[in-house]
Amino acid sequence: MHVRLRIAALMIFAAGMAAAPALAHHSVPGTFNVEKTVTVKGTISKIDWINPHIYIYVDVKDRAGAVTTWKIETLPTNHMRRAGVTKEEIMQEAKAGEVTVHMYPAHLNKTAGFLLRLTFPEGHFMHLYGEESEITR
Amino acid sequence: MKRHVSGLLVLSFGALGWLAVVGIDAAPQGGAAAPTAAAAKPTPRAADGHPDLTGMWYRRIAGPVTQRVGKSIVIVNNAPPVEGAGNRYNPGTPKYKPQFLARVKELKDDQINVDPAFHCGPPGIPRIGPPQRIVQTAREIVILYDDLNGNFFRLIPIDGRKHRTGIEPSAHGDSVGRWEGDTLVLDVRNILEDTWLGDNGLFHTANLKVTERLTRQGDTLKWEAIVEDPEVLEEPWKVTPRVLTLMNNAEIEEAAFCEDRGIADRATGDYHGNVR
Repeated sequence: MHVRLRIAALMIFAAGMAAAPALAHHSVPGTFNVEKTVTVKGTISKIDWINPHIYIYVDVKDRAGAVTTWKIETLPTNHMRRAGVTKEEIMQEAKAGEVTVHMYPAHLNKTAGFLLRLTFPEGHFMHLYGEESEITR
Repeated sequence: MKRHVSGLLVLSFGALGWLAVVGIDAAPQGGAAAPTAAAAKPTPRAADGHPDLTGMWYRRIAGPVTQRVGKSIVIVNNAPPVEGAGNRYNPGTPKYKPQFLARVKELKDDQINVDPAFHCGPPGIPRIGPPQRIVQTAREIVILYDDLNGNFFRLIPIDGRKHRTGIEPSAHGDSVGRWEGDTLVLDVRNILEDTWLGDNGLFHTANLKVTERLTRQGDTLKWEAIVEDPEVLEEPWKVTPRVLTLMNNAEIEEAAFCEDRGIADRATGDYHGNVR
């Protein structure tokens, strides 16, 4: 009886311990490499203002003129609302030309990332995630 | 490079491992008014003498604190917690009977595919958390939620009406309320089996019963929830209680449309799920 109880207790303990890695599935570090910052320049072609996360699509041209669309994930809509950021404002600011995107690159998708800072053509920016040191590293 | 994960990162997204779940859904309130001072205020009462629970109490995820510097928007590092924000709160974990641990693990391991809340589904009770906005009348209270997955509501009789019969189960069930002294006790039944009790595969049966207790003291509201599902749980699960502070400068808002990006994004490996 004692042994059984101990096994049950161990199983419960093990289940609890196993819970931790699972979270990585849906965390920022689980999907994006937070040890790296990738920078691209391009034009914003579309913004999906949706939950659970907003996506900003940035068309990046290479030297040969070929366009690759990057998919940049950012905060949920309610975070943006409280930060005072609207889709219209981003689109309006982005009309002036190319934006610069600092992001954590996705682990798997080579053209996706999680937004740290979006810098508009005129030089002002929205820094919405991470720290200054992650922009300059 | 040695990295410092700022409190803000945890604040804004949580989910940096176990610590952050702890991070995502809330904790002792770091509100504008300290809970003790808020609790010392007089408790407003309705015409019938019961405490009036009306007010904005909680916001699921507050996001980073930002400020405008010229035309730029920047994060304020080390900012004090946003009023009503939930941080470093751990609801705890129900104790399943040993024969169900394998199923919990199986669901947990495949959460990205099988958790309805990762696909814009309603979170259910008690996963949706404490009341966000309460409207109280003599006959009923209305609880409004602004969740990542949408706006949800509960309309709860408090005038002695019984549970409705012959209705279909729903994500947030059928609730009735009764006063026990100054505490409003909500009895929740008929909760849709598809919902989970929380992250990590915490399934339940159709016989789930949740009892929530709401106690207003001054400008604080204590939320307690007890989860009973004897078929699969070894014992009733007492969710970690929360004491919320009335948010004077906030109001419930309309949620943005939640779009399930899971299928398309899983294919490219950048599905980030629906952090709860």
